[in-house]
Amino acid sequence: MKPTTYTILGLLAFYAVVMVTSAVGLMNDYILRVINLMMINIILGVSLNLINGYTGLFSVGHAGFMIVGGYVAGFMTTLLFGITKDTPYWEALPMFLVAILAAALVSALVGFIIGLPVLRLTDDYLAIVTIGFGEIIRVIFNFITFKKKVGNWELDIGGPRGLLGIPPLSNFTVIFLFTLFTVIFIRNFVFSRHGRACIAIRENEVAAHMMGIPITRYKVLAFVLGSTFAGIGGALLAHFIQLLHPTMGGFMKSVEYLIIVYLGGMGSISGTIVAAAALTGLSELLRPIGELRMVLYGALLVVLMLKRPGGLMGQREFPFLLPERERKIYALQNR
Amino acid sequence: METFLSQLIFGLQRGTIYALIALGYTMVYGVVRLINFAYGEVFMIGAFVSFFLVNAVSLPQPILVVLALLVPMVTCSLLGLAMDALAYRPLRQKPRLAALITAIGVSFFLSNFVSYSSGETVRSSAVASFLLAGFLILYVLGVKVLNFPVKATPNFKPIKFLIPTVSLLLIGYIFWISKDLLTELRWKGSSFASYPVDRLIVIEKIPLYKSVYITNIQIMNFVVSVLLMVVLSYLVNRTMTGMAMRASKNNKDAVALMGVNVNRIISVTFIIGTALAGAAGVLSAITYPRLTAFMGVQPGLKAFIAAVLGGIGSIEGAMLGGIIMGVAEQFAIGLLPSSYGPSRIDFTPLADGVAFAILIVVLLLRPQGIFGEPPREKL
Repeated sequence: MKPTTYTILGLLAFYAVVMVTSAVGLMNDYILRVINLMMINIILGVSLNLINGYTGLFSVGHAGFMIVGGYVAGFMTTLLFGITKDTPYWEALPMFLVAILAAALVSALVGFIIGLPVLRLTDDYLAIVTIGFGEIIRVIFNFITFKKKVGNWELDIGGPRGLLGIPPLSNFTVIFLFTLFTVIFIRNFVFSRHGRACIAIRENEVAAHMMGIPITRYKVLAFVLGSTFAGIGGALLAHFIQLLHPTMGGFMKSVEYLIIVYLGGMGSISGTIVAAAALTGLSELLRPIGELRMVLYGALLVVLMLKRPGGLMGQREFPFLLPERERKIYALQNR
Repeated sequence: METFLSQLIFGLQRGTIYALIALGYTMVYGVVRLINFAYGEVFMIGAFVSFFLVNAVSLPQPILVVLALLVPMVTCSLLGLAMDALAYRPLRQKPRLAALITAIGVSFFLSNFVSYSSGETVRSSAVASFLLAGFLILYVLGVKVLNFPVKATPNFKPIKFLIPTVSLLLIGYIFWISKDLLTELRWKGSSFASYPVDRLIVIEKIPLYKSVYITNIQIMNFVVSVLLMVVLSYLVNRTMTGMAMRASKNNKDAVALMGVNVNRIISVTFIIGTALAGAAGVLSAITYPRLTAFMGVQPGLKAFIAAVLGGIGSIEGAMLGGIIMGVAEQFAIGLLPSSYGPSRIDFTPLADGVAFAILIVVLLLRPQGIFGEPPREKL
């Protein structure tokens, strides 16, 4: 059998095991929630890796794009379509998918608007603009309030209270399929000629320019793609935890995704997947020590850069993530 | 007119604080091309060191004011030295991105460290501050005994480290005696600590013109920051160290060939920048006496934008940029209506966005800033 077959079988088996065990009752809700959270973090981590790892940009505002997507999707399902907890799932699902699509488009647009002026300059400016973007998003969502009619009451939602009452539409199947889509999309992008152009920009911008690669266009392309998937991740997250808060778009949350990317390894999808799963699981295990986790995250980032700048996986990939031609080259190299 | 004038005074005050932090950003960027994101956190630590000191000791007011300003500056410059030696110097030959990521890590670490150490119990915050002081002492000892980061300097004089060590011990002692005091203060990480301004200075309003007035705190703020900036200008423009600093901005290799220890110059730059940020923290704490572990994030970010506005790498630019930024923000706060229309929408939170709007405009129209030179591409 070809490795691709193994991969498909493995994914099907994973899906089946989770579905069956949760249906039978062997797996409790808590573990299922952690698995779902891991997959959402994989979406966000892999999309950030496209920007920071493969193209060599330094975006610190990934949570900002995430929360833009979350707010757009949450606004559409909660207020525009008026979906509540009691709406039958099969009626709500198409509207949810439309909301996710809208979230992705709006995040892409925001990414384009932010990226186009800034990506012409050096990396430092991107870092500061994206941090500033996260803060401005917080300010804006703190400011915007919505009116929601519940029966005869008119409630204020949004603003500093956060967007409340988002219906729980992200279930395991939806998240699983979107994670799969994200990973396959970004993997295919990275191993296409466009992805190679991005990697060339990362390795040496001047040389890439000499080879005729339009630098700004590819930087903007990678940035917009990354923010699109961040928007999708945010939409899924919003309908998973059923709450959005302006502070979720800030610097703190963005650093968590940075840790995932740099722990896994810049320019390694496999590494990001491993790191996202490991860190999500670890942060559940480390819940007793509370805020010390954040202190450790900061120290971890410094130590990683000093001692192991390649992260866990360096730029290597699991064989099943590689295209066939790459796999042969890989096998020859590591013989 | 009167509102305009009083807003201008408040704006200038805000601006001098931004300018002090921005100077640190711009100087380090000029020499090492690194955005040290941790200045906001240095600002916060400066405010907290002053907070502990003022609460712990009882001295006559004038002496206390001077101490409350100087001790945080010394502590912060030691912190800057440690930051440079531990986190940034090993990465100097690596790609710039690595140092930038490290800077984010340092900033995240410091703010969360302070937040955590104040979180659980009041007592642990004393211990944690003590640990921080101890960590700095360890660094100085490491330099002294193990010769750790200065392997290549043969004329190493241990006497130079006497003053830092003694001042650190003093700070450690202050932290230790403030341990019981903290029980009274009941500061928890989730909430905020209020800076005891009344122990330092009695606020007086001095009328200037009709209803426009200036407080003595504001006067102190202006005097201190102008003094610091004058000292800085002297240091940069008139001394040998300053000359080496300005030369390093142009060509580090050539400066090294002239027999200047570039690493030492970089350390000096870090010391000056962090001391200024610490002073800004104290000044800000006296004006806005509400301290939290994350109070430095916003001023740090805005000061950086101020440095970009003035032209990053340019010292005059940072001063001017900071002041423009502060005034613009203060006017935004003053002009935006706090309850508008029938539903009484409060627009003042949007004033936080002014800085970002300035940044976007600057990047679009003049990315090199007011005083900056356009970047030259070297192949």
